Amino acid sequence: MYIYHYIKNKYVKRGMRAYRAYRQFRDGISARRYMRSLMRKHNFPELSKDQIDEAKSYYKSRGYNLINTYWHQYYTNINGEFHKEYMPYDIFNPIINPRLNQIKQSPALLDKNFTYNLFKDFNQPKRIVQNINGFYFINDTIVSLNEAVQACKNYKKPLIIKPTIETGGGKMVNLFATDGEKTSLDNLCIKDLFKVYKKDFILQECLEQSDVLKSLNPSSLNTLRVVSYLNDEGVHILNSVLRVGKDGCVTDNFSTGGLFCGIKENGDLKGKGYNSKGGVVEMSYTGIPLKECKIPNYIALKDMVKSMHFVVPYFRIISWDIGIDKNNTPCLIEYNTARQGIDLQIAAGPYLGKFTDEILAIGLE
Amino acid sequence: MIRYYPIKLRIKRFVSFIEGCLTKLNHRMNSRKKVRQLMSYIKIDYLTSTENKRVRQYFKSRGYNLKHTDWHAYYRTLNGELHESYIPLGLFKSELSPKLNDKLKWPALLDKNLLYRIFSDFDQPTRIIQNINGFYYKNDKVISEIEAIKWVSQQTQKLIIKPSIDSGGGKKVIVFNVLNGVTSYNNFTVEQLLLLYKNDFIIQEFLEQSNAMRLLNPTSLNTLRVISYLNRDGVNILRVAARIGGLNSEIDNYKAGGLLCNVDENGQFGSFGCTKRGEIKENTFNGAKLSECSVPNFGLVVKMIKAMHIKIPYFKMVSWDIAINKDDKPVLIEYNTYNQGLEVQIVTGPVFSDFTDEILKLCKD
Repeated sequence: MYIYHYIKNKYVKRGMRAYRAYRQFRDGISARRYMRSLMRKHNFPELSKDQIDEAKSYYKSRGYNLINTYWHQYYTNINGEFHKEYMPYDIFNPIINPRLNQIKQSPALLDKNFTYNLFKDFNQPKRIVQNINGFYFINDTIVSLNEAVQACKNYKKPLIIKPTIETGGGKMVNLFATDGEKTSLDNLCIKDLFKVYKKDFILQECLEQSDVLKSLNPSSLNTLRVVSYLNDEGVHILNSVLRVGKDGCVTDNFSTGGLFCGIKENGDLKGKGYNSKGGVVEMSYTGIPLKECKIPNYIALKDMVKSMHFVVPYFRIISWDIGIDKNNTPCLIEYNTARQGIDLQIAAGPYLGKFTDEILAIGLE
Repeated sequence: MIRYYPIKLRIKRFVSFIEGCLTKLNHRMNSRKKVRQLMSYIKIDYLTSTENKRVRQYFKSRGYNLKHTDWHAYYRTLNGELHESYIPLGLFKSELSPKLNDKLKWPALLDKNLLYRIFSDFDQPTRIIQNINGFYYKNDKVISEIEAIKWVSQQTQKLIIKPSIDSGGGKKVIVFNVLNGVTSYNNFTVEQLLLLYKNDFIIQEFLEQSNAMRLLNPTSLNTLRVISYLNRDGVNILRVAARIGGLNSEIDNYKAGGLLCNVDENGQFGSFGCTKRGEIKENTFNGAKLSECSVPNFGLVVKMIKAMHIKIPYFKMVSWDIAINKDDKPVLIEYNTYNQGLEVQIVTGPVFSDFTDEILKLCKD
């Protein structure tokens, strides 16, 4: 027993350090693997030697070794703009993100059920039934399975069901209507639908979105992805884009074929939409010119994001997904910290915006 | 690169297997070390071979392999009663606790700073300032370090400072006063005191407790340790014990020399208390006779625990520390899920009470 405690005290810290190094290596290699497969698919031309040198020397001067320029190449080829400050995912995910965000806090604070408690002062979609760790809840009161089924049965409007933990990329997010015990999802009855999700899921009322956002694609909830950064001076908005779902799709995710469109300071759309296949469009699937759209209440939306970020200072960089309801009021859909996608750089420019130097310096502390 | 991924998968599986085994081993070894240390303080009345066999058989019939019966011997020596259903700490931490409580959720949800948001509808000590991830907060608003120092310096009442994460056992909990910017702790200035804690701490007003609880020991905040269990029928109170501070001690922890005493379902104290060193006492250090004491408004304590546990259904078994304020109302001090001690069994009997079979079965499923 004493030998065990001697060994533990001597080697645990070293073991943890080795594990962290392994994770950093693993995350870097996964990111590069993903990007290489994407590049192979699109067959994008190489960057010029000057561009490669410029990007590498920029990162070198900030203490980072840019071992490839895949991300610079990918973004430049899609939007035609080269920026040396583009953030590669194999630097952001293994180095910057763990330094700025306490990843260990993510499983609890990112749980979509818990956001109703955490952000109770902010507008969120109406929840009908929640399943938390196997227990059913209606309005923060524990209920039986039958009561949960009854609540869904009585609900006449379409519902959204989604997992509340380990989610992302619109996975397992489904829109359905109920007709008695039956749902419109593969004709499953409500109880069977619950069985598919097992535990930790939520049923929300489908948000009736603002007319402006609905006109771009009525089948999906089109949201804004806003990236905020917390430092000693307060919360800053690094970037924001509008995400418009693919025609006929329920979710607006870029990975499921959606569009990214940049937003100007005053809320006007920049006019060009980009999809993950490298396509550039100037009009939505519904034929609306993007440059003629203006995000309603954009200032209020940014203020909401700033106020919400103060609630979770464990994370210094957060990607927020914000919808806008039929009254043009911003509504929190979800937020991301541990696995933030950075592809919005295609439409919005370098991910860390004017704070690139400051954040890169923090990443090395 | 192609070879890396199958190898990675194997390494990942192997690492998580080893991690699980090491965690279990670590809990068992820590438990054994702890029980041996506790046993060294007193003369142990070891179990006879028949008793030993009976205890092992009890656990075996429920699917658990008991490595030793030292905990049973320790509890029996102190309270004179042998129950097969005493739960050994090693078994609890290695096999039961991970099944009852979601380990991934605890770092965030146990943060004392977050309790003010999760349990905003319940009484808690008045917070003066909070430090969350290096950012200072006063009433949920971010303030600068200078403002925080100034605000603390202005306080005239007794204050308490404690770490908000990775805390326990009264570690780094300091009670102090401030006069002209200098604290009563080693004559540190407020700035020096804050520097001592760096990040993630909280300064609260020292709670003025109920007369009934103060009589037990006026120097410490004497609290109740209430253990609750959530199942399909709702929240059940498993055990309640009073924790009374040691002579001249400002904290009530058992580990720091305090006294543990059973509290029955009517709020009435048991006839004896026990110290960490195994001393059995009928009176507190202050001379109050335990059997004549009771908890004011005990019904409100139970009601409060039942309402709070519903807010964190991620944890099926929770140990709550509850104080009673000068108006005889319960106040939440903190709660524990991951590092719950089972020492209450000395005075309360088996921790799972009437739910022993249900919980042991649940953790085997």
